[in-house]
Amino acid sequence: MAFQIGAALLDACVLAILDKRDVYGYELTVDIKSVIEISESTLYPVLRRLQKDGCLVTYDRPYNGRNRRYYSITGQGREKLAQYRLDWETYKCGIDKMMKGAFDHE
Amino acid sequence: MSKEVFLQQLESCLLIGREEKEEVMNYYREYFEEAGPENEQAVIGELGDPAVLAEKLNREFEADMSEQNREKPDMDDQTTGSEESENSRRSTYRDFSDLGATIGDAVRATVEAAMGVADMAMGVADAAIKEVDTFRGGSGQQKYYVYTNDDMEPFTSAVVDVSDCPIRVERSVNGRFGVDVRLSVRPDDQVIVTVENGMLTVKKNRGRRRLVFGFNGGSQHVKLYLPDLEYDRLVLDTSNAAVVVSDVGRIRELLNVDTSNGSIKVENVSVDDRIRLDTSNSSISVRQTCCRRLEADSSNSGITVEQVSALEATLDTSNGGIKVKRSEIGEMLNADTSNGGIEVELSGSESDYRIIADTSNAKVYVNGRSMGSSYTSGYGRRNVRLDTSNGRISIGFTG
Repeated sequence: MAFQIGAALLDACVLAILDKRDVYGYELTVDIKSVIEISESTLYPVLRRLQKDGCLVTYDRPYNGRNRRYYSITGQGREKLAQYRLDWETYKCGIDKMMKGAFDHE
Repeated sequence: MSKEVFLQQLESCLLIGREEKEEVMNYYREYFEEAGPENEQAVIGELGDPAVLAEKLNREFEADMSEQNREKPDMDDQTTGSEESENSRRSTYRDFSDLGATIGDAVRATVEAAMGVADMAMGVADAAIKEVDTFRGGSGQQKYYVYTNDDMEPFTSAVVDVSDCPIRVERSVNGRFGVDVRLSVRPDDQVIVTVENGMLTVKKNRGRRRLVFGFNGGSQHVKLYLPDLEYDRLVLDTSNAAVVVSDVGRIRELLNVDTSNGSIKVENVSVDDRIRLDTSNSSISVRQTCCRRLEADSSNSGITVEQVSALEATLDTSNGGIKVKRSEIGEMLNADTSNGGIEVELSGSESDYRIIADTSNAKVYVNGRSMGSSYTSGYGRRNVRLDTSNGRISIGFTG
């Protein structure tokens, strides 16, 4: 893939997944990797940053004799996601216009 | 490589606080568990070199440190749009785009890596424009000073004395030097940015009326791009933020860095006499650097010295490990901690050294062999004194 995903877009993707359900780290990586190419090592800093910004919280659930850490979106996270969705639409439409040649040079 | 070895290496390369380290380790441990033993090698392959991953995380945490400033705006600094701020903007703002455009590409990579302004991906040029925007709409209490060699004299010493503000020092870019200073200022604070008799001073004098603890509001930074000259002294003083000094030409007398709660990174620097680094709750790393005397003092974090050449080195911390790698210490190496391991790799052979190593609750290893909790050897010219209470000491020779 020639295109690389930037920090804000990755934040948006993580929030979008969390918006549907709470997930644990590995699950999240697998979900995202099924759609875009990212390195396994990039997600931890993203989660941490989102948590620090109050966009998500974590909790632990016992699983097979150990703990699984789940990530859960907050109200603030949802607000942020809504903004990201708006921005994404604008951005996507603009790029689409250019890529599909509909860009009108008068 | 096994999962255990991977995790161990990752942990040992992380130069971050204890709690943060635990969080990171839990995350990756859980990750391996979830992936299952059958995918262990695949995960290791994807995660890559643990040292590289650790370096990435270290930078991430370091960037946080400098970001904390912007995240804690100070309430009584929120008065906006006053006449005063209009004036201060006019008098302090200089041509941003100039510095940004010149310096942009060359420093992009390094600035991105460690500190600076929001949305690093844009690089210095765009970020500078962004800063001006923030300033126009912002609290009106931030002052910018951007000078390039068009409007300032070259300098051969620099003193920076600020607080809650990261500092970055590097060499000029394509022969252009300059300063880029952004400080949060209250009405009775005084900011000085001058060059006099070859000495650059960047200083914020706090007003007398209040005693403020904690962060000072807004994002701040001091960045120096040094002229291509030899220097006498660089003295950098801040708090609660990181300091990075990299790729600086020869300094004759002293490089002195003082911060607290922020990391110190010195890279590719040559000092004839002395380097003195002091922080309390964060890590110190010195790489590819030479000097006569190196003193590094942290209290609750690790110290790493790599590819350093010095006659004497004194490394002191209490709750962190000390590592000396691929370094040449001519006469005296002193490393002291209480709750952390010490790992040194010495050049030459054991007969060059006089070694005294002591730990109370662990063992001393020399070339991988356990020597008990106390080890003394040799009558060599070079003295090595290693001390810890709760950590292992390992000594190796590169031959």
